[in-house]
Amino acid sequence: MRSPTIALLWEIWRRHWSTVAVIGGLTVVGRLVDVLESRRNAGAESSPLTTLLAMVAFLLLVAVFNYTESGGVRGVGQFPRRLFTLPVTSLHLVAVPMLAGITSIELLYLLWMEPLSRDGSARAPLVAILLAAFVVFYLCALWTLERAGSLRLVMLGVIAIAVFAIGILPSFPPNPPPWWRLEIVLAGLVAGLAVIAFLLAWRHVARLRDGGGRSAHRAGSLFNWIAEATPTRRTAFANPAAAHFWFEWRTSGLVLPALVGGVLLVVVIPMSWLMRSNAGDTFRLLLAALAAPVVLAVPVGIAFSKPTFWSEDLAVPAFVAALPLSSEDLVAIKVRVAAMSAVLSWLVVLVHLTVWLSSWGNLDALSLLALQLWAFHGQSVAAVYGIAVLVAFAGMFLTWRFLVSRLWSGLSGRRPLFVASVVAIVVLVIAGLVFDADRLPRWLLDDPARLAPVVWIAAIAVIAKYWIAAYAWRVVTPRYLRVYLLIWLAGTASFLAFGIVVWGVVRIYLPVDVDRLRSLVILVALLAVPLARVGLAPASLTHNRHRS
Amino acid sequence: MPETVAAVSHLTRSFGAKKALNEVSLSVPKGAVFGLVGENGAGKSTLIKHLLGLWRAETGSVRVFGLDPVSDTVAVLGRIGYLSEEPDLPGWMRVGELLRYTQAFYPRWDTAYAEQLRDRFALDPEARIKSLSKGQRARLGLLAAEAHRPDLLILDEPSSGLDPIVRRDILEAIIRSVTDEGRTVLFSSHLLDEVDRVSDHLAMLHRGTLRFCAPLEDIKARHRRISLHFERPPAEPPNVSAAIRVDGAGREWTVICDAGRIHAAALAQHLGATLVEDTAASLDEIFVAHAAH
Repeated sequence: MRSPTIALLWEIWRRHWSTVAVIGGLTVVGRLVDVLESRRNAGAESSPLTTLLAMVAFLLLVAVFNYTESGGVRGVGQFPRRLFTLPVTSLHLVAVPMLAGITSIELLYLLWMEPLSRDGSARAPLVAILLAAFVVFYLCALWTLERAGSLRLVMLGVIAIAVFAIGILPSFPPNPPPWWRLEIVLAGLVAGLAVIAFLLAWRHVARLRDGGGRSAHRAGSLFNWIAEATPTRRTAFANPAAAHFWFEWRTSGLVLPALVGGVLLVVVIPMSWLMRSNAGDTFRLLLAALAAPVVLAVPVGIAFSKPTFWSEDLAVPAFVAALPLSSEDLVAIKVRVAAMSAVLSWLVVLVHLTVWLSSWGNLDALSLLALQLWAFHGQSVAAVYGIAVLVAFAGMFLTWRFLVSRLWSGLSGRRPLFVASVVAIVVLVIAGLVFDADRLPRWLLDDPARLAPVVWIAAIAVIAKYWIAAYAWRVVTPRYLRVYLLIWLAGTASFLAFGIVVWGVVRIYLPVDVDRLRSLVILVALLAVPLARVGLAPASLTHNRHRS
Repeated sequence: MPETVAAVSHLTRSFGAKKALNEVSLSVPKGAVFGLVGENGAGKSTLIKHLLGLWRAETGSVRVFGLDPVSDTVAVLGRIGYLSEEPDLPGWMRVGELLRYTQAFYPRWDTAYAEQLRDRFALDPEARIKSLSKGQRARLGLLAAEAHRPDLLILDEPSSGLDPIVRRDILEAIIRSVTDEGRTVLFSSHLLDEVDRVSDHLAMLHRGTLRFCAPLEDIKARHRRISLHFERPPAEPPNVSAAIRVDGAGREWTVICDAGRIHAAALAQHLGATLVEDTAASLDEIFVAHAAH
């Protein structure tokens, strides 16, 4: 290898050739499926399966160009510091992975362009520019926001959504769109932003390389300022569990409440003020505020399930592994921190709703709903308030559920297992988007016979859940089993109660022969609160802690 | 028979094809300063991690205070103070917070002793751990490991993080005070002069195999360094059955023997050489000889 560029590219290839092979396989299969589908149904949009395969291929390509390495005290992925000693310029170090990423994603898009552009929502040049820009934004965020640790996942999600939104902007009515929504304008804007992102990344890496100037650690200074603002613990801890609870809370417990508060402050509050006159928008924003803790708990839960929230290393740090606490104690503390985090997040939401709805919220739509519930439940005001409390409780449990449900894979230290559990969620979300998940209830209700297999699958899942739970909890200390069973019963009861309330309302609008749906609602409520997975977590942590 | 704090029996651990530990058996007597030496990758840290229960024994057994450190994690770790080679202390904590946090896990935590050590190590209780130097972090790790007066203090390469002054004056003072109280120290090190100065028992690992494990005095007494002079250069190196290393060229040869009391003059006569010197081998020579054997 005579050229540094070839050496850097070879390293990327050597590390990821197996993933590249998978991407190639997915592309071949996807195109074959598309050809077969096109023959059967000429002129139709690409099938959901083709779109799903394309999405997974693009996601894997993004993973290939995650050009970071674990480093620093926290083991967070950062620009590979070892490259700084190579006799090449910083521009070279930044440009090679970025250009390789852009070229690869454009090649992949070229292979998928025909089926993906068939629906005509965005034209190929705009999509190509958006994809290239996304690679630049992605790498820029990975490198410049390394101090944000796992929170970069949320930020990258926001970037991906923004790029996607720009892609579909020209298709919104009216047609033709105003000048600022023209494809050429948007493409120019995104390309300009990508150039700025590239320059930022270059400057950041160059500063890291020369040890940084005064401005190199501005973002770091912000984090330091927040850290300094947090009160110092000056009193002794009552017991080891209290001490480690404090440790976990300080490292991960406040992340979700802070994120929820941030989303409410930056998105919901300004929008609620701007749309204060519209009752429908107020109602939608109310739903968004209620959904915020649950939705944000999904990515936060992925980081929370690892032994160290801010680190990409899945091994239990020696500092924690050598503590005289059992693995059960450590898991129990994590579960308690998750509960506290969920409760605090919901308190933030409830305080926000109280202030908003009592000050500038348009309550017309909400009042109408309350009136319907009041009339439906025997004109009882208590029932309406009861339902509101039930919604909050079910929301808290759902939030907590997403924080703890992946502990069994994250604490195991087995990267393939952890990655598989994360990929499952991502694929599920993509599949939901691709297959239009909101059409599922209508599809089921169109033919009640379709419900039978779904109910059976849910029933088998419930049986499997309890069987695995019995297996998992048999080795856990009975004290923890008793406490967790109480929590599980409370959570399941709140979901069941919520399901019954929802069922009571929606059944009026449903055909008479969908009684099976009631069974499905009950089965889903029984599945909602994790039992088997939390039971498996101590054994997973033991495996990781003792490197079995 | 002295009371044993830790006992390892036929311990084997593999990482893929490589055997990090191969049939290692040793015991650490109570009240000893037990030095563990070996080159990089010899298996010292792996052995220590087994003693802490951070690795489960693949084959063989590990007992610490008579307990299995994996199944009795809390009971074993509650009596151990551990300083890892790279102390991974949480950077966001302040020094004072770390001490209060650590105190909660050990009922025998001695606050006055912790304060005394903190003063001696010149650690500011308000300082964030991430702002400390590598040496300061190692000192803090040592403080946290020792302030609860553990029955067994395990130090994994403590010298790698500590500067020479702290190493010579403070670490050695701590080790002496631990043994004065009848407690036990197990430490791994590259620095043979340090091991020679403070330890009374020594074990050497080489590529996962235990080369020797005995009281230091016995090891020194057993190993001899014999210098020989030949009238004519021998055609091949002198063949000595007890030799673990034969070094030299031409007429001058040195033999390191591991055979207890050896009659050097008779050996020289048997080889047709003149005995130049017969002295106790230094720890350095013993280490090199076993590593090359």
